[in-house]
Amino acid sequence: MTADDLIKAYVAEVMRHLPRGQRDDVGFELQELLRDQLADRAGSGEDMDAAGVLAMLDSMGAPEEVAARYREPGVTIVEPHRTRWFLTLALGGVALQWALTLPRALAAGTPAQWWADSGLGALWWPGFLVLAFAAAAHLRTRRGSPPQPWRPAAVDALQVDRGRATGAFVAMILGMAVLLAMPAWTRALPAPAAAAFALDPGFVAGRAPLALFLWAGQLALAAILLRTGRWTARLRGVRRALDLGWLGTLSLWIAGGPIFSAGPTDSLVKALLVLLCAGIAVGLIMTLLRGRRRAPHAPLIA
Amino acid sequence: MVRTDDSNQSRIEQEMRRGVVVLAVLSQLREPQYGYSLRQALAQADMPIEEGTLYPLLRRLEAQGFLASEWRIEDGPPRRYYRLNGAGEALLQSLAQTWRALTGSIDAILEDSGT
Repeated sequence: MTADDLIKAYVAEVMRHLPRGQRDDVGFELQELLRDQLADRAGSGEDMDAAGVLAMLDSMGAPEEVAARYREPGVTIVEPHRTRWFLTLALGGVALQWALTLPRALAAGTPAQWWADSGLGALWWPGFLVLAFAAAAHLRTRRGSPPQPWRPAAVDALQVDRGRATGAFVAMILGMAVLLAMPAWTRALPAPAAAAFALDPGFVAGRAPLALFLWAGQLALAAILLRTGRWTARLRGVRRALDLGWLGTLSLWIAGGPIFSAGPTDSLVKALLVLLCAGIAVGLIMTLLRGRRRAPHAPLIA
Repeated sequence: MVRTDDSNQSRIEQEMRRGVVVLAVLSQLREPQYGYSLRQALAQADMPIEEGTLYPLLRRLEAQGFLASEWRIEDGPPRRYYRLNGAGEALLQSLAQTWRALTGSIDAILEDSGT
């Protein structure tokens, strides 16, 4: 290849990485600039054989890097300080889906089918996260001006918002009432719906009453918080114990037999309970980590 | 990847130079220049700038509204000439003022530290 051929090939590669509207203009300019540079170096006595021309082009930089410098900086989808969190969420979500689906596939002897269905199918989660982060990045770019200055979330992190706590207390009682009355109100439904929502008698007699103790504990905790208006270390411990209790109870409900008599209803509810367990577990882990990281440790000085 | 001390030093020096490239380029564009002549003018003023940095920078400054450009044919193939426009002149003045204040402060700091 001649020196000019090398320059043309280099410029063509740069142009390939440029936006379509810029290619001809930038490409032509860059080509002439490189020819001027080549003529200058040859005129000053440098040996501009193929190796010399390649060295000159190397000093420009790789074609894709040169093309990137012609562009304005783009939008960052995952900021550096959020990268670890993004990867944890993405990989954790995929791992959770695999953990829930792979054992059954292995027991059934269908790992290949599992890979084609649930294995690869779990990758929807990282894709969804990328879109969510991209949407957030777009909103940040549109907002443009610097973000609001930092202010502490609450003067007293242990203070209970009584309004919000009252609302949660009322919602808890209503929810418990609906669930406790479920055997009665499902019988009042039309036949197909009544059959779909019919609770398994074994569940009602055996595993369901466990919830009564946990609900009683949660109501007592909520009443104390409403009265005192403040968390204490002991109350936080009670809440963690209740969360662990729910984790165990829900696991028993899922693994201990049918909850609903109708198979599809039972499968759907158990899937939702698995997600609920995952949420409780993540909450417990986050509380544990937050507790450890609350204050920086003083450096060790020898 | 662990960087060597030499590459770290080189990178830090490059970052320091990168901070003044725009000021140096704008200062030379009160008269129309094309990319290669500008690069030679800066090299002669002991401010060498890599071609891979300079040429895209001219386009970006134009896209940002600080330079005007036109194709000209003068003894050879068409060349794209750049020069400062009103916004570019204002930016140059502002950057020059900032630079003088900075160098004054840095000189004082270095003198105090015995460097």
